[in-house]
Amino acid sequence: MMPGTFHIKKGRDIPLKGAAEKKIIDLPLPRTVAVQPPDFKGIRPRLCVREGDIVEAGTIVFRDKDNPVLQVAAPVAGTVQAIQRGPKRVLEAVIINVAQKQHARKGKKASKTALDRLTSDEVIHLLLKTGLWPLIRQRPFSCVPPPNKKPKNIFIKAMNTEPLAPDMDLILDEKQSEFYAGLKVLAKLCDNTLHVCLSTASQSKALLEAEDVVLSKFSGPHPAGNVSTHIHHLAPLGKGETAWYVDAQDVARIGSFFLTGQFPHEKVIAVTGEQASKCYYARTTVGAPMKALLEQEDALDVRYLSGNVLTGQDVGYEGYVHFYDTQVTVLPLGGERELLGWLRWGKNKFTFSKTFASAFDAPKKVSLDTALQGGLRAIVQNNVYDHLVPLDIMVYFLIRAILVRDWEEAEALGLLECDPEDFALCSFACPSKTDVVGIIRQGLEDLSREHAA
Amino acid sequence: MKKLFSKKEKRIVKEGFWENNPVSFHVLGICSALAVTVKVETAMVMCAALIFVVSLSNVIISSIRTFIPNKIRIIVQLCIISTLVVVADQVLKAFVYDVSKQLSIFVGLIITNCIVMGRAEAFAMTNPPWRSFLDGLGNGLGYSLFLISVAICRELLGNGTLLGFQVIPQVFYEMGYMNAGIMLIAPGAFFLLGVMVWIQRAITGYTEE
Amino acid sequence: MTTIKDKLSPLFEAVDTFIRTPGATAPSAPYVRDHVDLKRVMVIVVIALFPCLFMGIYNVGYQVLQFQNLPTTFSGCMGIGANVVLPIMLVTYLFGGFWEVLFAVVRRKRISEGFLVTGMLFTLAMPPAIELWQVAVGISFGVIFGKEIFGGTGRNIFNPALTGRAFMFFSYPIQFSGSDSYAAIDGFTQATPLSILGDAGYGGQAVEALHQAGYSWSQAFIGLIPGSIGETSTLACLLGLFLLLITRVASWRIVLACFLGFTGASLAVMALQRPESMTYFSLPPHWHWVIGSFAYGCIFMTTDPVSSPATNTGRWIYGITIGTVIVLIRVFNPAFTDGVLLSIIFMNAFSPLIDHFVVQQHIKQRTQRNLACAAAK
Repeated sequence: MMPGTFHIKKGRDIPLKGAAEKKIIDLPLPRTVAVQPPDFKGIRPRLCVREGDIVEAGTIVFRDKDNPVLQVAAPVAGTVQAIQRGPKRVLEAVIINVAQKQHARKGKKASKTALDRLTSDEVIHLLLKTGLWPLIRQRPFSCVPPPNKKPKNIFIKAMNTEPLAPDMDLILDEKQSEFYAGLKVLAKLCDNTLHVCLSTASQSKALLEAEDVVLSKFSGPHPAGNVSTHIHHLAPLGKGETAWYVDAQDVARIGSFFLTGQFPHEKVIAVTGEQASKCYYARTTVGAPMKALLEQEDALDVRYLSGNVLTGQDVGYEGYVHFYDTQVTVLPLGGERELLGWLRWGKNKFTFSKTFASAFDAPKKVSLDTALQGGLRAIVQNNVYDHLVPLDIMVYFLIRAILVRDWEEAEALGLLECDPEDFALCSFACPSKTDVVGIIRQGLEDLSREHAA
Repeated sequence: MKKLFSKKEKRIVKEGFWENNPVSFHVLGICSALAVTVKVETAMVMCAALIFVVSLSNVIISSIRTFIPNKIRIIVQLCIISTLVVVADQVLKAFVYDVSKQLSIFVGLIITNCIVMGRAEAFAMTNPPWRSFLDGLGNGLGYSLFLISVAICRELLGNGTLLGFQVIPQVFYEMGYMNAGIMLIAPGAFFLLGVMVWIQRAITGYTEE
Repeated sequence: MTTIKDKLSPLFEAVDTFIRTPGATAPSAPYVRDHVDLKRVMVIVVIALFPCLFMGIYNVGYQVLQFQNLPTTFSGCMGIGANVVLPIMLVTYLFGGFWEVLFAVVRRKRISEGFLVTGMLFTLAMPPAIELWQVAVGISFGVIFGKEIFGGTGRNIFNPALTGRAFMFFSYPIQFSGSDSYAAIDGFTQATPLSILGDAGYGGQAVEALHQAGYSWSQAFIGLIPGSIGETSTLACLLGLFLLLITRVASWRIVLACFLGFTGASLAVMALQRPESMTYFSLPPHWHWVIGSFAYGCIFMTTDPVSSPATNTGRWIYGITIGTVIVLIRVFNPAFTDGVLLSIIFMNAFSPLIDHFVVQQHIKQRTQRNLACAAAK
């Protein structure tokens, strides 16, 4: 199909040091993996295993209390080592001690023609049964979708624009047949043709020669790669409509399952960041521990993030990679106090604004640490936000509507179109250090509760 | 005598004066609060007139409350209040003519002062006469609290006098002190009133929902 | 039990983060942050005001020495000027700062850097002959009624510096009218250009009247004319504008819109002039730019981000209206010699309303677009 091309003008890239070398290295199975229920929005977990239970790859670890068909599986075989709970007994993680020998599951291999004969219901049934359904997420609310409501469109995210994000071409080129199988299967879940969104710079055969999909190319700074940007430009959602989205690598994993019958536990995760002793692409298991990916000892002045710097989470050296993350970033902690720092000329202070001398230099890769760079202040309107969000949303007014809990106004301004990740650049650039991401996230949570009520 | 001033009665007066103050709590009677407070003397006379009108109208309306047919009760209340206002006006004209000239139409406008009608409806129609009198008294005193406070500030800061007597010594003027002109015009009164309501609400701890 | 240190923690935090950057790290995503913070933005505005400050100090001394027919040496002017201006600045920051700290401590909120700018703006808006106790009253009023009662920084409707100045203008009008603005300094009396025009009557040429009083355009542009401390020098204001625009701290839209509205209105007034109309009508725009506090108000006061609209369309409307109303007040209203102060405060009240309509318009466009998309499917 003829690709439509979109050049995104709003947004900014953060050129960080520490990009991953374009080589995929296979890692041995880690000693432990984690299944982390908070990763799955829309699922209130009810545990199906106990400490000491032996699980196989694909054994269901927990399912949703209200809708039991939504379930999450263990990626590899092993023993349940620990069940971690947080405050108020919230289920935080199920740690699985990985078995030394992994045996193949008894699964059906499917040929390509067998895939064609599958019906939509059969696909849904299989995905739910094996715990692969949560690879699909829904907009609005970015949650795991209830399977009974067909979406208006399905979007495949085949590009990444976050800082130091993995190169999709590298990952997909060796999984071409699995990727196509996944596309075929997912296409059955929706009446409209699948949308595949890729970068104009992409040279991947797998993507450019995909059939029976709508190819759309995007160029421009981050967040050109965000799902919200794609949906906004290709098929905006009306009231009550939903769209589903899947990361391209996960499409390949789904395809791999349907072709081989084995639980697709493998995932390529980019190890990035200037404090990572080695920046590379690791082929490992979903839910792998940070330690397994890093060839270094723990250090005090380092921050370990699962995900990218804009939307990731601080998991610490002993933490585990979250379910949907495709990279980890290791950064310097920062926080040194500088005398009269705000008065300095600022040749080395990276900023989106033009208030430091660095803004007038030629662009180059920068080193950033996790310092907050200022205290939290009252929100003062500035023209910063609207240049960073390509969604035709008046961000300042949306924030105001959420803070006063005017849900009608918030919806009218487009709250349902977005995900907190779309506002990460706003949080980055705000001089008042306003937690825009947090406000939007809280707003979406409260709004979904209003909808449910 | 005990029954006349028992706890409940005292509470009625106190509440009308402080917690339920008509100016700061109900925000009533503001226009006269702005208009007649340029001099303390004028304000005091206005307060006296209002206390007279509101307490007596409360008593009278309360005495006949069971006889007033519901459909015409507003008109009946108005008649009673206007009569009292006319009486008050005539008394002022007779005994303090200069002040009454300064008050001009504002004495007549006591009829429209929401405090009077407000108390008549809210209290006098449903309570016995002595208590209604006390309620009127309390509200009138509460009104006076604000009026006289504002008037003191305005006359002092805007004129340097109090009740006509020069309070700020001439020495200050020679050193460069000036009267604040803004106190003589309505916006100054508005600001003062705002600050006083703010202070009073901070003390009582009242917040609007 | 809360100690004094706990109670005064906003003050400690303010001083501590003033000296050194805070050491906090990002508590949640995003884990990297832009280096710009509110202090940086504010300090750029304060630096942009330095030309006005220095020029103002020089000019105060210059006016006094010139009136006394003494030689106007650089050090002489700066000396006299500093003697007048620095105490005013000190009192402003002291009293205004006191209120800021008090409210922050009572409300247990952080002290915001906004007051650094407000204090400077207020100082520069004062006439040289103002008494120090009046300055204290004025800045207190400005900070309390212009900012704190609304909830502090970011929540005020009106520009606090302007609110304070307006209060003083109405309370002590003599200090602010042209002829007496220098009165306390050695009996100086000379009419400012604005008051000359206000008294000029009918049927003449405004520029002639100004030339007769001894004012030339370049004099007014550089700022060697009587007036409030920082407002006289258009040149100094332009230097400040340059810095504000390069660093994108001020909204160029507001400044340009104000300038266009102002120029357009004064041209319109010129066009309406007939032989029997007021002399003021005939003042050409380039003169309007340099007299009174237009440059100062247009560049520094209208661009206050909190009291101006938050939408780009709103900024255009706001700027053009301010410019127009300034001319109207200047020319048509004999009671107020300079309409800049009043015009800006007037439009401050309308900023939220303007924004509201722009946002409603945006919402309507969005809804229509969504409907069109759904229909096209």
